[in-house]
Amino acid sequence: MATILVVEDDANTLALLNVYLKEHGYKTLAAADAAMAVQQIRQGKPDLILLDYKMPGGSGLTVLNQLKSFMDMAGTPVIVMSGVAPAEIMKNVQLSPSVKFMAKPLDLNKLVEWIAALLGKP
Amino acid sequence: MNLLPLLRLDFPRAEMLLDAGMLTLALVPILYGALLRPMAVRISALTQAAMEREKLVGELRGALAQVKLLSGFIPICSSCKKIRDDKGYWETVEKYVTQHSDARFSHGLCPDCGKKVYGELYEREFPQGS
Repeated sequence: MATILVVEDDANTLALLNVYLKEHGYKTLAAADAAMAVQQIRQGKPDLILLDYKMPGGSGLTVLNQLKSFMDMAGTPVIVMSGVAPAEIMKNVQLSPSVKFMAKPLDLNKLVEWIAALLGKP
Repeated sequence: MNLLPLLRLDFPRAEMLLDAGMLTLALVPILYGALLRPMAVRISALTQAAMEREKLVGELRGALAQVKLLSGFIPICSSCKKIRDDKGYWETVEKYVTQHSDARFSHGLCPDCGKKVYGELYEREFPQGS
């Protein structure tokens, strides 16, 4: 069973994503800020990260940069989520086959499709 | 060698002058203690207070320069809620407020939009709204 780390400061969105992903057969880890996310990456070694971009006390960019510094986790697929315009995200985040961007509010059907494509079926 | 006897012989007024001089010298510590020292202490305290006031004014000026205030009428689209800036461009509320204040946004969903966007899942998880 693949593990997905959900990094989201909005408690409702975090709870919804956890429930939704569990219903789709994934194990989930949760983090409400950048520091907790880095801790979860180190300890939980997730297979994929859903990463909110704008959070108080450290943005998703902080988490992405930290992720790159972990040798064994640097290639972990990430889906960056934000209500900010994609153009603004792309100024700071280099998207790639393993780093994708999804605008908020999230299209949950599309989200599970992307996760499945990045991980393979759970 | 004591020169006073010579001074007395050659310069009759010298003794008087010396006495006056000695008296003046004797008064210096008294004058210093009674007048000059308190004045010096007072001037030092005033200078210190003035320096602290200048520093405080500088800090307040710096803080004021960083404060951005939103005030007056803000033209906002009644449909999409974009705001027209002073150059005539229509910006999202997030961008406008971020540019004109120190506030930052974190995106969530209000209960009405939560139900609209996530439907049954939202209503099941948050039956009371949020």
